[in-house]
Amino acid sequence: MEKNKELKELFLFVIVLWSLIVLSYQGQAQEVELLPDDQVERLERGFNKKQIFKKVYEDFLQYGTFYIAGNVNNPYQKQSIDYVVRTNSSGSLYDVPVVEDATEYFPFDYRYGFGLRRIARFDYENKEKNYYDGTEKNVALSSPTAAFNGFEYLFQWEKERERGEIFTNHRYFLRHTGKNHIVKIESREQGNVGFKYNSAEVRGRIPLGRHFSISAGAILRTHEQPFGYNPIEIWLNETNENGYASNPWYTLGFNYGYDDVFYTLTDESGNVTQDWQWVDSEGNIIANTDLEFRETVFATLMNQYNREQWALLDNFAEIAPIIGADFYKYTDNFWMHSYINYILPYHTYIKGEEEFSYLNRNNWGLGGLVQGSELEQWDDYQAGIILGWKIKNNLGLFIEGEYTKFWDTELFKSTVGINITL
Amino acid sequence: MKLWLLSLLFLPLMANAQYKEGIVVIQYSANFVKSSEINLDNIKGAEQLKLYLTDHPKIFVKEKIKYLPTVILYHNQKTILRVESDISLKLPQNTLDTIQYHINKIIKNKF
Repeated sequence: MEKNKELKELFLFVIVLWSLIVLSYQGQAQEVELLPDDQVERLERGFNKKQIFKKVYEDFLQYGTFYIAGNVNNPYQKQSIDYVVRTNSSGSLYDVPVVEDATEYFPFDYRYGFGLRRIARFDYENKEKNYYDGTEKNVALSSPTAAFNGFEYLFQWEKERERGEIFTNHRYFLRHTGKNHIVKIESREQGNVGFKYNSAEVRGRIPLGRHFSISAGAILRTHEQPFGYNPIEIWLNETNENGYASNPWYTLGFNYGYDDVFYTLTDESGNVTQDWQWVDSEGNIIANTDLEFRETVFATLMNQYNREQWALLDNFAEIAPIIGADFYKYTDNFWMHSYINYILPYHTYIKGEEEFSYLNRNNWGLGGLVQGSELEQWDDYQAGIILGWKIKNNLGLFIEGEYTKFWDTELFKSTVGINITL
Repeated sequence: MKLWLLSLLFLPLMANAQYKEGIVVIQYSANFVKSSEINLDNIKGAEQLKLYLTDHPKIFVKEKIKYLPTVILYHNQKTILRVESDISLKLPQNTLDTIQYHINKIIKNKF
């Protein structure tokens, strides 16, 4: 009887447990079915968010690299050491002088920065190092097309010290390349060479075959320097109604706190020399003649004056149509990548004073801007080629070159060579 | 200078094109196995081509295609992956994933 009772209790326990499991399962099923609309919406939103994050990762972040890097190098040092002699502390010019090392020594050079990059290399480019440190040079940053369809970017900021001077550099580059479009935006500053440049371009692209494509669109570019506008020349060339210089050259010295003192010198033979001695604002003699002043201090003042006048002007921004073509073919034994960009002579300034713009680069003369002069358009272009040919197993030929003509600036680099494996 | 630039522009036009350059996935097939073909549309990062035996018999011989359909992934003319159908004329189930894996590997190497 006792045993039967135990069996009955066990049976009941199993039934109850089973019922609880089944009811609980049904309860859960009912709960899912009866989820309120706002919760369903939230779940869907979560799922969509996941999809969006996945898409952002795949299209934008995948294959990207974040890096923080820096380096320290020996500073520039002259090969020879310069010495000067100083008067002995006794003050007598004829006592034993003190010889001093006057070589300019610089503190060590350094560079540190960080960046995020996703720039594809063309097949002919090798990865320079096993890591990225911000010193990489990729063809993709200058060629109109890319080695990869999709987003490419480089966001890099760095600080560097070179020959004791500290500079900040940046390069922000974003491009999206598709079969039928190229969209690019770039901002670059290279402090040690005073280079600052921003650009944005949109192009439609038509592939002609598998290797060749042509493109056309518009490009917006900025430049800081008012090319062709030389303030000091204009200032010196100003004339009054009598045809005399309104601003004699030496008045520039006065404007910067220098002064000239007239003197007469008579030598032992009785020859008389007259000239002007130049002193700075503290009365120190800095030049013994007008000619000496003009050849030394005055040249510095001219550049200072120009810089000050240029600084008064706004940056310039201009828009123009652009066309381009590119060819890319790669095999193990032969590769060729060539590109050309031509900015058509239909430039329109959208920022900066047109009077000082590149359109007036040849219109300055005596008295300033020549009245009635016409705005002058110009051509800008860039072309590059990278060619490699392994003629035989032990013989290879390579040619690389790029030529850029933007405004008054001409840049070119080229490499030609043969490799013979012994 | 302008002449040099123009020659630079037109010189490439003389070069010949190759169907296996870049990253390309080619499905070799025939009309009688159309139902066994796989859809390559979802493959990312590669060009897709479909070649039929009746249209390109020479290429089939050159590429030593013995099974139909066969899918080959090329990178700059080199065969990276070759997936052949089995006796039931079916490609393996994970064909797309395997191809995509190898494409991703090639692309990763570019960065």
